[in-house]
Amino acid sequence: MPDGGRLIFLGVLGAPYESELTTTLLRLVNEAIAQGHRVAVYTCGGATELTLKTLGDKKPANFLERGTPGQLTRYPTTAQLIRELLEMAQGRLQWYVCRPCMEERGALSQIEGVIKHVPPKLRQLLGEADVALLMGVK
Amino acid sequence: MTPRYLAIVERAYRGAVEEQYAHIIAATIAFCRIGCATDLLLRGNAVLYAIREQPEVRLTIGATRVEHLPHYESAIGALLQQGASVHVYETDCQRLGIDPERLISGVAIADLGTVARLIDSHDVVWHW
Amino acid sequence: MTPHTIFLIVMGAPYESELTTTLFRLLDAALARGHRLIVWSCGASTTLTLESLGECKPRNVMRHEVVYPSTARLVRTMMARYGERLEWHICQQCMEERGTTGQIEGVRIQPPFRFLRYLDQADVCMSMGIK
Repeated sequence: MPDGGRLIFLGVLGAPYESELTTTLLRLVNEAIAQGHRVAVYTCGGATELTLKTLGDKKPANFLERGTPGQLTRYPTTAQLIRELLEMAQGRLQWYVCRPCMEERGALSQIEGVIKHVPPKLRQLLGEADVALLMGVK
Repeated sequence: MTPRYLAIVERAYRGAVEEQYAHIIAATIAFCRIGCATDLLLRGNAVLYAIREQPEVRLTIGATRVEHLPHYESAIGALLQQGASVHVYETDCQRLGIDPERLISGVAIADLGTVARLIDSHDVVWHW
Repeated sequence: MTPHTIFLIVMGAPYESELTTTLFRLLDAALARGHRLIVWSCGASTTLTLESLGECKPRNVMRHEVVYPSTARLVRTMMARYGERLEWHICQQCMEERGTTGQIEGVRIQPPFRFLRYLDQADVCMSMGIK
């Protein structure tokens, strides 16, 4: 990772659609990158589903918009938003996906740019970070 | 006679970025539009969905402006326009310090007796 | 006992509670008694039947020799055993929204409001979990 700012480690354990964990995570990462820090995210459990390739870049069409004239609204997926964060960060964001959790959940098809790793990496990142936060429960 | 549904929502705020449009209130509106008349009962922290003057939040994540996050006030307004009834559970409103004047116009307050009557008077009860 | 058609709508995610275990126990018990079961899977429960789960969970590092069946395998074996008396439907909207598009063979992917048809047909209906 390039130098500069502080190294912030975020361990994420919760599944999407259960609470505002994912929204909070993406806002934190976005803000930290914008402020010039370096961020390492390690996803476990249901959070490994945030970066599924099969999510595509947009959600299915809004069922309430069907039949209305004009272009349908485009709703970005978490996979798309994380791809953009990686691009925006230019090396200052590393997004890890826990391999055992990924395999256990069948979340095998991950977007490019994320790093599949094993749990000891989480401990390593915890040791290296200036600031560490674990978010959610597995 | 067409069965009447009751949707009960208790767990609130399940992923603004994940859901965007696809939240439970929207699903309830869709039910009404396809002819499955559905009323709504909000309990737990979900009573907060029925407060007036909710901000319309937009976020920027990466290069994307996420414009369409859930706005429950307009969703409940749209549901009321479908002819559905919307109730909030009184005890949870008291717990969260929500005065009746702060509620969206058309939303009714339900005590436990009303909750029981709502459940009894609907053919299908769906706890989301 | 007269066989019934039982319709179960499952909405909860695995790993969050005992919902999945309860579901499988209910299914097996009801099917063994001769009933017909229709399962409609919504939200994160669409992950139960992912092809990518394979036949078994990742190896237990403390007990290498033990094979732990995946939920996908359990559903497959129930469908094989009970044939047409078990139907497993997947909500297409939920499936696409969650990226759980690689489903095992034998499950039926359906448009969202099709479940109303099964609701009508069933003798007994129950919704399990929350979306």
